[in-house]
Amino acid sequence: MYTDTIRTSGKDVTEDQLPDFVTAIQDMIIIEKAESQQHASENQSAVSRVPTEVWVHICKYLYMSQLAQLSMTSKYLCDVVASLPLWRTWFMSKRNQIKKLFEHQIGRKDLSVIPKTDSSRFFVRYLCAISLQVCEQCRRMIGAIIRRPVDPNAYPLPVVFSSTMCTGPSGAKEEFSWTIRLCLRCRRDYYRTHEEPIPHDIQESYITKEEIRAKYHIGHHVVKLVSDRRMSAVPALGNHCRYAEIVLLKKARDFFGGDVGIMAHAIPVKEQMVMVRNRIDHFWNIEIPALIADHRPAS
Amino acid sequence: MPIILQAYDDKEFKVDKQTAERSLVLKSMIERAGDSIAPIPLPKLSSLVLEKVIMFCKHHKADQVDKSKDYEDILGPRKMRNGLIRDMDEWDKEFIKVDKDLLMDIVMAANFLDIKNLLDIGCLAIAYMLTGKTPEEIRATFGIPKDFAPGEEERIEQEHAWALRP
Repeated sequence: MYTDTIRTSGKDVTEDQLPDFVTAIQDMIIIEKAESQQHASENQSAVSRVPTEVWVHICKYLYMSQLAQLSMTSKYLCDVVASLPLWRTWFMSKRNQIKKLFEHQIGRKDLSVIPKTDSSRFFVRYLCAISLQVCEQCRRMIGAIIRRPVDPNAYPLPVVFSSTMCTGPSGAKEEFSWTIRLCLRCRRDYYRTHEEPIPHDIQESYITKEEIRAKYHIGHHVVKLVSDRRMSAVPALGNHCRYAEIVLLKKARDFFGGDVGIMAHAIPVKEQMVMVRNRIDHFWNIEIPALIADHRPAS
Repeated sequence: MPIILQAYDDKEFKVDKQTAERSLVLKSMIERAGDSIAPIPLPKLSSLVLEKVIMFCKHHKADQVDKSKDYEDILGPRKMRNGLIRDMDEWDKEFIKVDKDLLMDIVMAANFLDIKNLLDIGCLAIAYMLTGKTPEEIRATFGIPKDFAPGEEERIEQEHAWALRP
C-alpha cells in the first residue's frame, strides 16, 4: 500500500528505505500541526482565547477602580465588566439610601421603576457617577445623602498600596503599586498594619500649639495627651510649651487616617465634590429619564 | 490502576486515580467508565500545559474537595488586603510563577477540566497582573486590540474618569 502511494508521487523509494520515509512524513505532519497551532494562537488575542466565564472569575479579584480601567481596554471587556453581578448587588444593598436620594432628586417616591430598569449598565453608570463617595474596600457610600458638609477626610481618599511579587519564570522581583479609594475606617485599619515612614526632619522637632493647629489640625483634646513636652527656654519668645512633633504626627495620622487624611483636611476636596455633584446631576437629569423611557412598556 | 491522559501532541501521561479525580470532568468520566478505562484524549491541551496541570493535581491530591481553600472567600475584593498572593501557599506561589501565555493556557485548561483550585489561583495570578495597570498597559500586556467605535471610547472614559485620576 505504501509503495503504491510513493510510486504515484513520482519518487523512487526502495523497500528498505521505507520506514525512514514514513517517519519523515510523520515528522512533517507533526511540524505542520504545531505550526498551524502556533499560527492560530498568534492570531487570536488573549481576549478571544479566554472564555467569558474565566474573565468573570478574574474580575472577582479586582477592585472597582481596576474594573473601570479594565473596561476601558476593549469593547468586549467593557461588556464583561458591565455584566458582572457586583454592580447590581451593590446597588440593591444600598437600596434604602438610594431610595432617599431618588426622592430627593426626582421628587417622587415611586422606586418601582428601578428594578424594572434591569440593565446592568444602569448600575455601573450610577456607581461611576457616585464613585468618589464609595469606599472600594467596604463599599460603603459616604456623604451621598447628608446635605450638610461632611469632613473632607471622611470621604474615600486615594491610598497607595504597594507590593512585591515574583513574576515570570525568571523569578525577578517586581515592585508595583496601585491606588484605591478607602474610607476613613478602612484607612485607619490599613495604616495600623502598614505604618507610613516618618520624615527625618521632625525626629527631634518640638512645636507649639499654634503650629500644631496649622499643621496637623488637631485640637487641645489630643494635644493634652502628649506627655513628651518641653517648656520654651527663651523667655523672650513667650512661655510656650512645645510638644514632640513625632508623637503628634502619629496621633494625627491615626485620627485622620494617614497622611492623605491630614492633607485632605487642609485642602478641601470641594472641587472634587463639585465634579461628583455634576456627574450625579447629569445622571439623574439625563440618563435616568432616558433609561426610564427605554424600559417603559410600549403600550 | 493508572489512568492515561493523552495530550494534543500524542504524548501520554500516566496518573493515578486520585490525582485525576481532582478534575471534576475526569472524575465523572472515570466513574462512568468503571475499571476498564481507555486512554483519555485531551486534544485541547499541549503536553507542556498538561504536565503543569498534573503537577498541580498530584500536589493537591490529598486535599478534601469540599474543604479545599476557597480563595474567593479569603481574597474576594471585600476582604482583600494588601498583597493578593500573600495568602497563597508557598508551593502554589512557586507553581504559578510562569510566563503569561502558559498562565493563560493553564487557566483555560483548569476551566476546561473543571479544577476549581487551579482556576482560582490562576485567575488570582492574572488579576495580580492586571492590578495597578492603566488601560494602555493592560492592552500591551495581553495584546488586546482597541476596537471601540469612534465616540464610544470618549463616552466610556467619561464614565470611568474617576478611576484614571486617583
